[in-house]
Amino acid sequence: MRTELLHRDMSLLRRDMILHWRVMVPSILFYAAFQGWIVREINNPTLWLVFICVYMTFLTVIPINVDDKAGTYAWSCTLPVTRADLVRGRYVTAWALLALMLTLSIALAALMPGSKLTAGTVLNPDGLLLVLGIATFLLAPLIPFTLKFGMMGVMLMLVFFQVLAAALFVFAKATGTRDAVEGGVAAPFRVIIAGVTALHDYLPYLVFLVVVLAALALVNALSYRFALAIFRRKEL
Amino acid sequence: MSAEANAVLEVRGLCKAYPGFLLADVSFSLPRGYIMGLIGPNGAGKTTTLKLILGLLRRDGGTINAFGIDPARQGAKVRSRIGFVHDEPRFYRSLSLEQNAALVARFYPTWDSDAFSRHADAFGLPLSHNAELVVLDEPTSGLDPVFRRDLLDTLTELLQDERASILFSTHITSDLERIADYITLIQNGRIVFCESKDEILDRWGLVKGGLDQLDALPPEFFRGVHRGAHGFEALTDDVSAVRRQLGDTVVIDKATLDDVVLYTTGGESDA
Amino acid sequence: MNRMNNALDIEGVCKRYEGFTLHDVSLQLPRGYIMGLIGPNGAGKTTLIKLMLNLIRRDGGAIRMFGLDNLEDEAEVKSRIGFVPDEPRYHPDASLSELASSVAPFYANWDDDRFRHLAGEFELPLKKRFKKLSHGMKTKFALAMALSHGAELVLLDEPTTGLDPVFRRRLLDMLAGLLQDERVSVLFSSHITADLERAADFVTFLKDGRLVFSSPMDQVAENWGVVKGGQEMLDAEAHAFLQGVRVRRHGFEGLTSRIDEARRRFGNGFVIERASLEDIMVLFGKEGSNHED
Repeated sequence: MRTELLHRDMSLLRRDMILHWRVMVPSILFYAAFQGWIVREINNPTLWLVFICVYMTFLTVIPINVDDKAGTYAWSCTLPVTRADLVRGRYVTAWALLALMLTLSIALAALMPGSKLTAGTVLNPDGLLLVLGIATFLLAPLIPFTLKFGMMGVMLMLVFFQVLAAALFVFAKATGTRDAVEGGVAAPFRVIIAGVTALHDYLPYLVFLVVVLAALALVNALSYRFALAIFRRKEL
Repeated sequence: MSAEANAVLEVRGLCKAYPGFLLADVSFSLPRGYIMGLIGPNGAGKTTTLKLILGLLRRDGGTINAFGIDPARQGAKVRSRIGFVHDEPRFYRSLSLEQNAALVARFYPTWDSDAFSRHADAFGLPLSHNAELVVLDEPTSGLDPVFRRDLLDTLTELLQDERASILFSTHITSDLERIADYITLIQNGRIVFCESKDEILDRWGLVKGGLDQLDALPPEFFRGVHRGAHGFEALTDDVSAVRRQLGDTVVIDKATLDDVVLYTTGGESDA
Repeated sequence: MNRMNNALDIEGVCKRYEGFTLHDVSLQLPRGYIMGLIGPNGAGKTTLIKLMLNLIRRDGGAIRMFGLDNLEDEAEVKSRIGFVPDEPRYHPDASLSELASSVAPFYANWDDDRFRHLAGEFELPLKKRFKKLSHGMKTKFALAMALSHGAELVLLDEPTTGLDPVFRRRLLDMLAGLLQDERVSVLFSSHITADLERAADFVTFLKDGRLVFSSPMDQVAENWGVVKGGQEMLDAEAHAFLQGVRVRRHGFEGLTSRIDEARRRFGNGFVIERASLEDIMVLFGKEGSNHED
């Protein structure tokens, strides 16, 4: 049964590669060209890491957008797979693309003449954890959103956050509570960062690693459950 | 000659060349008040012929005479007297059907809004300006028999009351068996025949028998032959001649228009 | 009847949309036969086929194929189905050979030689991108895909729309060949009822989301008839006996599912003929709307 699932995952990944290389190859090449330039310009490794994580994550949902626009979900659902397989396949493809682009980024950071970064910028436990963390927190809402709303999903998500930010800003300005609002918005992030830092400082490193990885796995699992619930309802 | 003088549409030696496709020497005429079915495989040249008649394409040779007008010279004038139903109707999608109709009505002095409301669907527009010639290019693919029967009834009415003539291209030949007066078969850009439907259905037949009987007959008896392991099936355009020759030794069935298309367009005729 | 021997067994299936409901449809298709699915546009044919494939959620009933539940054993069931939709939609920019290669590993019985053979027979340009194909070619491609993985049940949703008689006949011959050689079963919806009369063993008629009948083609051909006569001959009794009565200037037409009884009941002056599937559909389509024109 488990090999059967693995076979379906790999078949779906292979199918995504065949059907989407025409869009993905140019996108990734463009990404690489940009990276080739930026690794020579940027000084702050953490800023670079955050930047590539955001960029890469949005690229990984292109196949979902293309499928949605082409109206090929009906075809996918006539294949001998369940809807759960199809949704899992989306995560597999997204993470595979992410791994590919990350490898590319590391190679460019290490090998590009004049690069101010090294492979070690990413290739250390904290660096990798940061990449995993940011990608997880972006993909977790992005995949269900894109499955539900397609091309519009990504736009909607961006617009939603912008509108939310603008509304908060206007509200803060009008009521003169700017500091409080900013603090409120930042609070969850502060809590997470403080929490992670505390865990990092007080737990043995191995335990810390396990705890954080487990938390990320949980977020991914929740996102998958949510995406599946959405996709199961989809009428094709 | 009198029949031709009374023709609404006369096509003579029509030619049109595309890379990889040639419409060659197409000739037929449609008398006023009659309905002609245009049949043939996909890519045979049916749509090209219709577009040439409407003056939507430039022809390479031959003549077309619609109501005494040449569509290549006065396309707009010809089209104002033709109702055209397309296989994939493309009107303005952002407008309602009524708005589309209002838009179209301005171009036709003879617009009949009652006729439009009677057929308020894709057929409404083309059938609403008292066209003298209605041209239908596979309008019925994807439509169910109930709707198709309605359309056939509408077309029959047009013929009776308004002295319109109809040129009807379709793959659903049973519809033509029901209403057509003439059948024109096009294949590979050439006319195979243009004959009265009743004559086709009366004179043409499907002959089934043993292979030895087939070999006893000269091949010109048949328009197409399928040989099997045990016997043959062949299409003849002269049932009585075959009957005279072979009598009861073969089975002769009536041929449908589907059979006619199937056998005359070849396929695997090993004969 | 041993239900395991049914390629398809639909029981009391319901689906509610806004403005359309598929009510309580049940039918069986034994292995190795062709069933034609007929009905006016909007009768629920496509909905029924989509329910079999779990493309839409059903609101009630059960669907079993090869004795397996279509939801519980979804992947297994689908690996044994070949499907040709009315409007095939694949990735527009992928080439035909890419599309075929992308599905091959999903099917244990994918037969690449057979796919290439069919593609050759249908003259499919395998290097071309999908979006460059005509509608007819798209359908032929979908057909080649559906027939290349040893499917035991082939579902065709109006595959012949816009196809010429030559290819339609070839398709029917091909389906008949499949039946003989491999005990494949076929469910085939079409508006070209003459094709179904030629090929189908069973016929299922849907109208307004309800099953009118699902029975062997022979029985339909033997039992259904059209009764015609002058307007004045249409009395209350005749009206009650006949279905889909249509009154026109020159007389009336009505439908019966008991042609023998009709022959006994209606004597001189009535014309009683066997009904074609088209007659049945057209007269049923007019039921309740007697227009006097």
